[in-house]
Amino acid sequence: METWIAQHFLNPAYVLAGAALVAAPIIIHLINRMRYRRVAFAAMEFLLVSQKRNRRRVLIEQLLLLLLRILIVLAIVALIARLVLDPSELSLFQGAQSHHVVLLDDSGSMRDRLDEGTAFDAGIEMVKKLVAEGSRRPGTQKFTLIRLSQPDQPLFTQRGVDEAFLVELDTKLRNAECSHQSLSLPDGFDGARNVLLEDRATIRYLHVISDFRNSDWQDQQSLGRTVRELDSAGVTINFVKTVGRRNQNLGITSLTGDVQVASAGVPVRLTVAVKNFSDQVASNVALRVVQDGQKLPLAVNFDKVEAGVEVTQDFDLTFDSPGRHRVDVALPADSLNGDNERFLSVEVSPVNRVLIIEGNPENDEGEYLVDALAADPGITGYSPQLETVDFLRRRSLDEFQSIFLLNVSDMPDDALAPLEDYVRSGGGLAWFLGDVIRPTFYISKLYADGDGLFPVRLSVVSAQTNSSALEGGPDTSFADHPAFQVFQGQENPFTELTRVFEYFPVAEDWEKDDQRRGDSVQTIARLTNRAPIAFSSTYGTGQVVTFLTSCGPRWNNWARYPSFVAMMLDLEKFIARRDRVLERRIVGEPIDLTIDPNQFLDEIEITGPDATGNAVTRLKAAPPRKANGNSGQPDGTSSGGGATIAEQLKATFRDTDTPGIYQVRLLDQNQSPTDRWITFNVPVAESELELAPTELIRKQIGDNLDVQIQEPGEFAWIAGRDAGQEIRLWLLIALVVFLFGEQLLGYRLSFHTRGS
Amino acid sequence: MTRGSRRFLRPEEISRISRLEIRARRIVEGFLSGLHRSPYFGQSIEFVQHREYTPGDDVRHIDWKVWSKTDQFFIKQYEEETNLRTTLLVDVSQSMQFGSGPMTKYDYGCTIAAALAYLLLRQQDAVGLVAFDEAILSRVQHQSRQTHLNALLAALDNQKPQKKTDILGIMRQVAEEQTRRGLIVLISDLFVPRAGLFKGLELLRFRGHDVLLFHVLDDQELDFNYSGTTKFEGLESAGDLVCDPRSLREGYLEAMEAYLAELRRFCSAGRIDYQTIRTSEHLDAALAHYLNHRVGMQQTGRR
Repeated sequence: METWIAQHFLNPAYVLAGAALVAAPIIIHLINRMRYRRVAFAAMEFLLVSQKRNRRRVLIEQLLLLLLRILIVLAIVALIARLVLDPSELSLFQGAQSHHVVLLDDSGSMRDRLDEGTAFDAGIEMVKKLVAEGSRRPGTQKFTLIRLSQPDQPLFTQRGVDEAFLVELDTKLRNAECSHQSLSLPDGFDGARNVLLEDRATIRYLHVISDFRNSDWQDQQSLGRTVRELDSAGVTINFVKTVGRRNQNLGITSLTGDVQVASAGVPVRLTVAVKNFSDQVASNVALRVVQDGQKLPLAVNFDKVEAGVEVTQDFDLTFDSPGRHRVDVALPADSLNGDNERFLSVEVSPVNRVLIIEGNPENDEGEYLVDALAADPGITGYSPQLETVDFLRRRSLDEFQSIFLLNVSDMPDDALAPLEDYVRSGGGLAWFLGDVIRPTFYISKLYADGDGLFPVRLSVVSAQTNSSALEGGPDTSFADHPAFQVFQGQENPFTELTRVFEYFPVAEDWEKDDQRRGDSVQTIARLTNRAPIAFSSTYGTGQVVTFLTSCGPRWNNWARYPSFVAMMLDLEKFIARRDRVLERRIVGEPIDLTIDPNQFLDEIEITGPDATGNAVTRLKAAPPRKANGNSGQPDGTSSGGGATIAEQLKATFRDTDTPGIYQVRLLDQNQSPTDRWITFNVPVAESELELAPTELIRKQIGDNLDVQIQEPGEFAWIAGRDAGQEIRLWLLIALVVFLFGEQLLGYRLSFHTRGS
Repeated sequence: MTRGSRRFLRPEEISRISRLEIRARRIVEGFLSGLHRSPYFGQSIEFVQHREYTPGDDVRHIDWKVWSKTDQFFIKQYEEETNLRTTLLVDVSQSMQFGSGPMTKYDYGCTIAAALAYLLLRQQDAVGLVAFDEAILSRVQHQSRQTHLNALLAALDNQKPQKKTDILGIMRQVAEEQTRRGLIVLISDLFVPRAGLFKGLELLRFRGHDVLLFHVLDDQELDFNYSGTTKFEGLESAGDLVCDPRSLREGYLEAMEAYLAELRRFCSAGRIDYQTIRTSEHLDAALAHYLNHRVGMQQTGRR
């Protein structure tokens, strides 16, 4: 009851006393009935006649008069106590103990620049105004501030609002930074719900201060559920918009390239994608490219970027020296600067080593491949090495970017095992068949019922085609695959020329339809008779591309045309191992480090980007916390199996909000550094600045919920000064009507001499 | 005159009333000559007509001026003035004890009776008085001496109202006792059974009496200006009622007005002079109004 009164009256203290006044007319009426004067009267005959006739009318009139007087008292009480029908109009800080939980959106889109400052600054300003208003009534308000980036770690929790807190808040918020991350609104609401539902004793408010982007409010069913739960728990919910219009924004959505095959002195093709996130065309967009801190005289321009369209452009970068290099591409400043810059770190090797195992060296097929990959090593950056199967048994394969197996008849187990390990750990593999292969070995050992390195079950005999003549059009249909870029396009001259004369068909009972087969093997080329001739598959983390024909010109004429060179270079780029490509992540993801104490010291040094340059953070890795059941176990040892294994050390670095390149340095026992580079870029989702219409927000949370949505720049709702203005007018009118009615009825029920 | 009796004859009221003439509406028999016209012609001041002399007439009445002009004997005839025999019937029941102003209805009624008695006695008219409630409480026989006034006033002063009114019984008794026609003046609040009242009045009229009705009512009985919760305790055992009098006022006034209208209709039909008198009205004003009205009726009747 007290809560209801506090929510509906500006001066709730007067309500109960005023309500007691309602009894006054009733008591006066009863006293009048009990206290009367006596009159000895002669003309009783006429009085009794009148009483008999008017008994019912008199009763009704008396009750009506009493009711009117009660209503007059009620109306006066409501006016003095200042009744407010809609509690949302009421000042937030009226009445009894209240707990205000503010959920402040600090996602990347809140960096959107407004007329003065950013959307995040406007949110901070709103928080300050809220607390300032609350501090006018010290001792009655509690305040909790939750940032969306840390929903389970409120900045302030249930702090009493007074002048001292206002100063503290001001100091803390002055240094508050908006993140670059794409954050989850439902998680934020869950965090707020946990705080609010713990506190059941007071009037509770949830203020969500956000830019309310359209992308954040699509299909948010869980968010709607949380809002409804809070609403049903009696929490007053208030959505406060900080942004009123959609600003123009261009953003770099990706910066990629063939960095897995980057080598010193060889141009690397990079691709930058720019998207126009606004509803107007952008023209003359010029990008700035910076390599290792030096701005390059490189023209990456877009004449026009249509609204909502993503455009891409390729450009080549040459890294003169091997090692790690930084690249960043930047757009001119606009309303949202976070997405105007994108970073890329590139591990440049001195040369990319490729191993070619030739099953029948007499065929010289390897030479064709060597010529294709490294006709001039200075241009392609590859260093092919021709070897026999025996090489697989004797040497480590880790130094190779990829391995080509040409017409290998079979191989011993001690050659197959390291090959499988190599591919499983990320190495690339290309199969070419030929006349010396043993199909049974391929079927039993290499295919191994789908578990082996070879992706398909072969027939035991090869098949020949009758495609010797050039007429009749292409005999091979190449899929849209990175390895077949050279064969793409309508009426491609190379597809007209290439011919396959012989190949190993897949086994009859092997399902040829990729969809129906449902494994990771993808058919990427077929002959005109629909026989598959090339496959792309994975084994572990490595890429495998398999051709059922030869590499050299014995079973096809591919090597006789220039397209062979392009196809092999693209194939090499495709299968080249990527596990050594420097990591790329989205800002906000923590860096989890697991350190073998036998190999590295527990000191970790992380150098990350900072507003002023680079900031160095030092961490100390520690053993992970054990579960309660194992708490008695001594650190660093394991009793299982009798062997002593050093326990892995763990460390987590969470301060990865700033986009850029982070260097993690570990020191081994000899103090030699091992560096790990991780590139962090902003999420594309935060670049969408389209605002969510109020209807959409209401639809997501449920139309019938009493959630207030405050437009940007409005502050009146905080003070609530105008609350109850309308009902006050109606109350005044009602009071006048009641008074008029009471006077009229009183006049009618009372005696008046004719003269007066 | 005693000090107590003077309260019914305030000097200023007596001086005002003495300028008025009260005349009998009808010719009644009387012992004393006065200002009243008589159905019998004889010696008197007021000449009426001439008549031829016939043997046996009193020669003192021959008009010699006419004989000298016409040589015939004519006798002068005069209107004989007779005494008015007035009976004052004064209601002294308990309901007359009510009064919201300085005077109760009983006080006021006695004042009227005293004023009338004084006036009539000054005209040498015979005045009798009957004070009653359930029964006749006191009776004063008709006399026309000035000193008779003291007896009348003493009879009024002694009454203590306390009982109900039996109007029919009283009137029947008066009608039987007053065999000679005269003026009956009834002074009462008339809170009596209507049938008995009307029957009694008819009886008096039937006996040839000229009836004059002074209906004495208090201002509160006519206007009912009470406010606030009030317990009305009925006089003459009429019952009690607690009410807000303002809410019942309209109905009360309607009932009262209906009763008064019925009375007026009855009196008009029976040629009974009826006058409602408020106890707040000046006594002389009420009497003057009534007397003027009565003279008017007399003159109309003669034509």
